[in-house]
Amino acid sequence: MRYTVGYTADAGGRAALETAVALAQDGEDTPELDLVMVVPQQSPFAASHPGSDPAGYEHILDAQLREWAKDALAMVPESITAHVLIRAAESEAEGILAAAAETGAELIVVAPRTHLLGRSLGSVASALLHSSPVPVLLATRRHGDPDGEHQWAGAARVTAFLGTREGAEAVAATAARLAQRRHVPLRIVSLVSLAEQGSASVHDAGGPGPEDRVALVREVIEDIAGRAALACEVLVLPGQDIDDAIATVPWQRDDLALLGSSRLGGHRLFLGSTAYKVVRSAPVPVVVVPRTVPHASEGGEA
Amino acid sequence: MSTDTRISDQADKGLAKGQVGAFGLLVIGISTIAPAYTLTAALGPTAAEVGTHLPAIFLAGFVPMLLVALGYRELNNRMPDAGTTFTWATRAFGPWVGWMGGWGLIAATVIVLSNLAAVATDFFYIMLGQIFSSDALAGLKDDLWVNIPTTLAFLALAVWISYRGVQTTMVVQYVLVAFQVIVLVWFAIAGFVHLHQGTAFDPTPPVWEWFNPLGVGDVSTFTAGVSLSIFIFWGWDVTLTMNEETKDPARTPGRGSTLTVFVIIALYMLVALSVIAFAGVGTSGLGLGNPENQESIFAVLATPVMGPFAILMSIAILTSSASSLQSTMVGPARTLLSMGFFKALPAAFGRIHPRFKSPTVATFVSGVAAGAFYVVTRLLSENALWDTVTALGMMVCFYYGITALACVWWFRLEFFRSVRAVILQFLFPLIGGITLLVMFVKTALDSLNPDYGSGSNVGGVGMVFILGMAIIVIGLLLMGYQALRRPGFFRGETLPRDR
Repeated sequence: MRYTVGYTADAGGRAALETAVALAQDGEDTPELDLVMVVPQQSPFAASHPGSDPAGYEHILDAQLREWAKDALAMVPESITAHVLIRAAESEAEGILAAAAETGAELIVVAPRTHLLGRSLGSVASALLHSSPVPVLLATRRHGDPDGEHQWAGAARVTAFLGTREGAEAVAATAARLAQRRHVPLRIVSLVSLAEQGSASVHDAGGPGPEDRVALVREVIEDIAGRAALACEVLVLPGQDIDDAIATVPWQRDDLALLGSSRLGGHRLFLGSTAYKVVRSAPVPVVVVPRTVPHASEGGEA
Repeated sequence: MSTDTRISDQADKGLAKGQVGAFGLLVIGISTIAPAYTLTAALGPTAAEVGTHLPAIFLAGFVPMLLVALGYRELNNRMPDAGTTFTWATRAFGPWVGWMGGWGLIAATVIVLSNLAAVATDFFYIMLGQIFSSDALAGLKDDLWVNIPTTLAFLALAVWISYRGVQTTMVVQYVLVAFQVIVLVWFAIAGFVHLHQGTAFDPTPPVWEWFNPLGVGDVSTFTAGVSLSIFIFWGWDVTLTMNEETKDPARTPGRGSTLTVFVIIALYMLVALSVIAFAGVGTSGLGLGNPENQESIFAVLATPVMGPFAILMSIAILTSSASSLQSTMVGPARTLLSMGFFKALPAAFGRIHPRFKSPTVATFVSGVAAGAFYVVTRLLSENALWDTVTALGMMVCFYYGITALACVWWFRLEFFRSVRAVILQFLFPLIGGITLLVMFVKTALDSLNPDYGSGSNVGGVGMVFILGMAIIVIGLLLMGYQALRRPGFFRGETLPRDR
């Protein structure tokens, strides 16, 4: 399997690289990592003042990029084939997507930036989630200690977050394939917000009690799992609101979370509000799957 | 597999290739020169020196600029991997001259940064005053407690934008340039209309004598005027040194830079003639000779000439100086970066941001230096803008002179091979370089006189002399310190001399 890693020579880039390495290492096929370093395209209409020296600057930037590239390659174990791609693009996300298309990557790994203000994943991760045609793994720096002692060590279990809306089956199928490939157990989690009528309930809007709603959701999820012939654990977790429900998810250190993008995005990735909250609070890396990955039913779009 | 073979790179990835045509170069050239800004900053001080001979001096100032820029182009074509005074002069003359050349460029750009921010501040408050019809708001620009923090805020903003690697897009640049040119032409025509209708402040119909450079008077006046007017063409050379970015590297730069020169000179002539025709060079009221008016000529003349539309002039100058502020920041930052990279300065200056791929320490240091320079000159001098523009002219002469001579020296073994080489690699840069360095020395000596320029002085010594010499002396001291601490560069180990 081929991975594209959005790499920057800082803590975020290293988190992405380490996560990709951990994930690549325990897969059975021969993994290939492409580390992409994106250089902003110089507009001739911008830096043209005396001393702006575009050629000389590029020379220095090149030397620095090569140094960073060598440091990054040194972090990758021998068993993994790794390359560094240095590409110019209008934006970081654009460069990463172009490189992924160039190499035929099946997964893009980036580290989202966690801001103190606002509900943002940073411009790069957000842009990727809005436009990537392949799954995007968000390597959070939260897992483990900052000094890296409890580094995430690969997916020992796949946890798929499923809603009861259309498209859940595709996410379940992708999760199942991922788990099968690595011979690890699959777990399906569905979050139910009791305060929010109708958000998780598919059937009647007649106002069923909390237990009824959980049972209903469980029925739907088990139905999806059953149709996909998946042997998996199903957890339906109710909470006053989604945040409450997320807080009750039991994690183990080497989980890999997986969720689908929202329907709003059409063929492209887009995070719904629940998915966004999961990404923000999950202590493990999260894969966001676009709704058009292979095996997803094309008819289900529109 | 070796590490190197595992790194796939694009050659020239950062440069946008084959995109710019002659018209695009014109836009780049005008935006780099920022005529609305240079005119408001330089018209007053230049007119104070040469009176009605403003057009002659503006034309004369272009000659050394042209000679040097042609040398620039030769060096740029021959050393395509590095192109700025620091690297060129180091390769030609060795580390000491190279270091001081780089220092001169940094000093000049840092001074212009502080001046740009100050002009932006002035017109920011003038514009607010015009919007709310409030003289009190417009008057805030003269209150140091408002002026200095606002100027520093403009600088901080420019540092931040530069650090984040945000670039002005083509569309924005086209709009800003078009707006600037339209407003300047509008102003010029309005000035002539006032002359025609007899409503001008001091009707002074243009005569051919204004174009006669020999009519200026003595050499000191001429030098002072030319050194100021070099500043108004500063930046034009980029149109000549661009090549891979252009659609046809063999022809576009030549066409584009010629087009730029004609447009910019026409614009300067039009505005200079109109300003004199409207206001005259008298020393009272709106006259150009009135020291009150010389810091920022459009701040005084826009309203009498354009009436209620004067606000357009404020917007044009504000946008032109603000966008120039941000793009000029790139210059000193990259030269400092280059000096850090080649170990002529502490390695920290060579740091590049891992995400934004922009110089970090170098950008902040440039911004802080510009802020410090502004605060010091503003507190020491009542005519800070005037003095900084004069000091700037001096520093531009200094480093352009060094660069031009670097061209002559670098090509010394080959320029007698063809007539073209004799002219472009030897004769032109030699004349240009010597002229500029002589002007630098002459301006420095003249500025010793406390009456020089704005007449600001400290202890009987002219402010401009103090500024210029302080910059040179600080440079020499820093260079000495670096030579002791990091001798590698000064032994030619990190950036060896060519040939």
